[in-house]
Amino acid sequence: MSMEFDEVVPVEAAAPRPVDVIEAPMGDVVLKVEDLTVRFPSDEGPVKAVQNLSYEARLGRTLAIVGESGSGKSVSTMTVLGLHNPARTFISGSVILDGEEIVGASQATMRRLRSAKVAMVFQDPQSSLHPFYKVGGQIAEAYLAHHRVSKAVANKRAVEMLDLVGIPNPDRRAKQFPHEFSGGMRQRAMIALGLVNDPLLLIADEPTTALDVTVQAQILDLIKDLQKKFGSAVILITHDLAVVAEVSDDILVMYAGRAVERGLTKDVLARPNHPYTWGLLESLPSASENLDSLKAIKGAPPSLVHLPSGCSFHPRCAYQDLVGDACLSQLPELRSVAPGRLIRCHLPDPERTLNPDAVLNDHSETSHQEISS
Amino acid sequence: MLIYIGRRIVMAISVLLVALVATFLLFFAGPADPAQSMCGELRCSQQKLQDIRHSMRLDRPVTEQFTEYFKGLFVGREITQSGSIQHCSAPCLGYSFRSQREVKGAILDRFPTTVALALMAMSVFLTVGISTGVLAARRQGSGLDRFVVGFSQVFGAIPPYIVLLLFALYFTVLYPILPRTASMSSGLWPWLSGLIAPAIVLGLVTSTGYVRYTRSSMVDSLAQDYVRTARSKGISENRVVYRHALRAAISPVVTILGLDMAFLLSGTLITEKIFDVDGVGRLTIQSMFQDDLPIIMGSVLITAFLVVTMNLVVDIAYSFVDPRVRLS
Amino acid sequence: MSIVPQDTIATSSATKNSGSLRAPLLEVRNLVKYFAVREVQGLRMTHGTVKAVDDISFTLREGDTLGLVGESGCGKSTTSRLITCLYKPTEGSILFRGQEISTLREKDLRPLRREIQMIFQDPYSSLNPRQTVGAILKTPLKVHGLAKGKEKARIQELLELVGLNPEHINRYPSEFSGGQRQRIGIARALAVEPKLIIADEPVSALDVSIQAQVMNLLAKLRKELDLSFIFIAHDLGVIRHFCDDVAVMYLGKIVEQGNKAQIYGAPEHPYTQALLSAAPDINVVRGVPPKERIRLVGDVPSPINPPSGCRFRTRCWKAQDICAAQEPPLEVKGTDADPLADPHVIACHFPEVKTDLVAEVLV
Repeated sequence: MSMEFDEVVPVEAAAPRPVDVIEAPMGDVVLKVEDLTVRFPSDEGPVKAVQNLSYEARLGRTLAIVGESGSGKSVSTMTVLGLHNPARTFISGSVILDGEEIVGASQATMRRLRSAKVAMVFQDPQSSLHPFYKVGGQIAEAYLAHHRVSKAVANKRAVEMLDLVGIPNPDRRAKQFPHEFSGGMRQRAMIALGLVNDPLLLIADEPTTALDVTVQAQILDLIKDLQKKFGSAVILITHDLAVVAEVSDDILVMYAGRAVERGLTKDVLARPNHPYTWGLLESLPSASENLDSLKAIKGAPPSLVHLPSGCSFHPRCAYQDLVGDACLSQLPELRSVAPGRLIRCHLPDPERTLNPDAVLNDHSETSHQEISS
Repeated sequence: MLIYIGRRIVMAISVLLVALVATFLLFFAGPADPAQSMCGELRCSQQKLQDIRHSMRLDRPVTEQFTEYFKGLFVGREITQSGSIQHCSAPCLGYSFRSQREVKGAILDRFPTTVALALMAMSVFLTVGISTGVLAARRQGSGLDRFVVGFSQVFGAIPPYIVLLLFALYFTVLYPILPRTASMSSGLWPWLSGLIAPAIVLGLVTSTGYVRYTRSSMVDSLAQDYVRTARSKGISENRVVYRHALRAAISPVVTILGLDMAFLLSGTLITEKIFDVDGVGRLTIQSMFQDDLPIIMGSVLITAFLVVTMNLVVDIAYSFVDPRVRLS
Repeated sequence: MSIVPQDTIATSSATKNSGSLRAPLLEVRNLVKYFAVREVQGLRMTHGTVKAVDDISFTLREGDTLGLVGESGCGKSTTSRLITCLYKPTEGSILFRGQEISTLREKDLRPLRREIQMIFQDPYSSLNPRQTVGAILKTPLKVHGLAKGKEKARIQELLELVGLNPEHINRYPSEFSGGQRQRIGIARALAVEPKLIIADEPVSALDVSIQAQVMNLLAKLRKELDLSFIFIAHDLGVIRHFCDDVAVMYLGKIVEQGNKAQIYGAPEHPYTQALLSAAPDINVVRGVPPKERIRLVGDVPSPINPPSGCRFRTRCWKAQDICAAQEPPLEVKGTDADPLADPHVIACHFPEVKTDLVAEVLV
């Protein structure tokens, strides 16, 4: 149903359509998150870190989860590894990893899956490696946790992994401590640790934020190369849209604990359909060439205890007045605007509203092709 | 590392020198007559006092006395005792006229008992303190944690001598489930088993500090990123807690352990008195009541030596515990 | 194929140089800062020096905005602390309005601290959590004897200037968000009416959507209060937006310096080119052909033992023997014919212009 975008549209006109899931030809689904909700207790009330989140990760593809602080991007992936304190976290919904349910799983099950089926590379390699143990030993420990082999075999495997991630002199380096490594090498070692058991899914949480830009480029190249080699699924958590553009196939944009836009990276970043995504892209310096001021999103991310009513983004949304009161009173459902493309917004025709100058014909073809990274 | 140890030894020697000079000045250059105080209630004859003064070189200037004493530490010295001359072998810590013995011998005789008591107490406070601290940290915020913290604070606030007295009274006298102390001459087992009671209570009293240090250090450590990494490897929770979190949290415990051991090895005055343990501590207390200055001075020097040595040992231990520490 | 059309270069220079040549505000000449360190390895103990800043020179005129770009260990933070006299230089001189400031005693430095102020990176640790916003802003006023008797009014004025509610004067930093705290930090720097602001990564610790707001605030204040800036950042996009001139630093040296058209449109030093190439480009999703990929091998060498000759030679794909033997001087090699433009200086034996490292933006 197409509308003239300058008409004030009553919200009933954009009734939610059933969510389409596009089956990409490449790769099986290894992770299926459905309706995940995570809450933490706090003095001011429950912190609604993640609400009704659904997404998938597939072998051979990289999903980027984008959001700012408080968006819930890290919280949702920590749930996949079961790293939240069970006594203080409320988790509901379903997280299925290679056919096994994670929510409510026992600690024994989680221990079996961690590092073997799903592994995580954390943001700060300096603090994520134990300062008192040698690097090779730390990698070997992960291997020994899941394989009944001798220490010598595990150590050899650790050296192989260090070599695989491009660390020169791996046998010498394996006997060194983390503080003897440079920042880039430490992150490579973390990646080696993550991949030592050849997991189906690798989650990289802001893997390059703490690194210099030239090192970042090396690490991102490495992650892509290793994904091709091992065929694993990769989830990349970041706030850097340029990194997303270069490295990922699929994108999930989160705001205040909810998914607000999902789709192929190429489509979403070229022609965003959610005001938040659009606002993020517009606020980049490169979008304001030769202009004095950047096009900033007004306001600040909300408190997760006291979320705004209706759509969580409405206080900051540049398009809220186009829709009217529905944004304040009614939380929009996640709806499909094109095959494989989901948004959570009351705008009836976001494609046209947010991208009035975009040329549609060439892009509508490429979004159906596989974009090989 | 050797250069570091060498430098520390030089520093240690200078600290000991200062302690030596200060103690010497206090005892021998003070207003009280050292010779008279050495005799104390015994009412020495003038001849005896002369003897003492002469062999202690008290009739000489203070600096010369000090040089004599200092020399005696390295090469031994001659002590005049009622006309006869005795050789005090190096390191000569002086001669106790009261007990007619070399200070060194008096202390060394009792040293094994003190060491045994110290080691037994250490095994108690280390196991109780660290395991309780770890348990509380793992259950941080729970009722158990709050109880542990509260109890260790209250218990630690009670003056140790009260706890020691009550324990001795109840468990070795009124309801003697624990053996009384015995000297070494009674045989190895009676001697050792006699130390169980004081070791337990001394260990418990000392453990409160370890509970709190371990707990707070573990709470920090469990929140660190490397513990999260360890969990994400799929290893057992116990391995995460002990091999990863505790290993990193142990540094502050090493510090206070070193100092505690220094004082334990110098003799715990009150414990040994209450439990009637024939160790260095009891010797020191007796000497204080008897004004036996050479022994008191010997004890002070030994304590200074132990503290300085244990500090060095702790620093070296750090460099093994934490590979980032480079001693320079 | 440079991004900024030629006439824009001429315009910006003309605006800057309109009238008489503007007086230099800050001159840094042959500035050197070494830190002594000791390291124990086995039985040996080596004395080393971290050559954090090793002979840099630049001039900043009134109204200029200079960006300092570089990766860890390049010396940009040390430079900022040298200029604000938090460190004393090992050698070299720093002239502010023609007066040597690096040798001044603390007493004589005090009036200078009104002129040069700093904004720090971490809004969470750079504000005293035990002081209210009012107290934080009152301190500089009291120290310099400003707004006597009218402190509260001035504080409220400052809060409004940075976009905060003046009624929040009695709140504590913990009650503000990261972006708001950074605004407080900016207000504190502005309280003494400085002429030169050193901004050390002022937006790196903020959320992406807030970065743009704070950048806009800084741009607005620059215009309204006629401020000069030295802006340190690792985000090349932010630097390009905010700064007119850029100096690229590597291991304590400036390797290339020029105005932004020269640096972004026609960089000549291999390190600058590697930096620009390494920065991920969002435009790949818009069908723009990707820029040339230059990938440096290895990590930055230690500033304790920098390579001989040209420091970048160990990672440079063009390195020849002369690069190890002779350190290249920082001099004009640029092909700019425009006499009004600021000189484009490069420290390289084999400079080569590359113009395709920054993709054009499709509007």
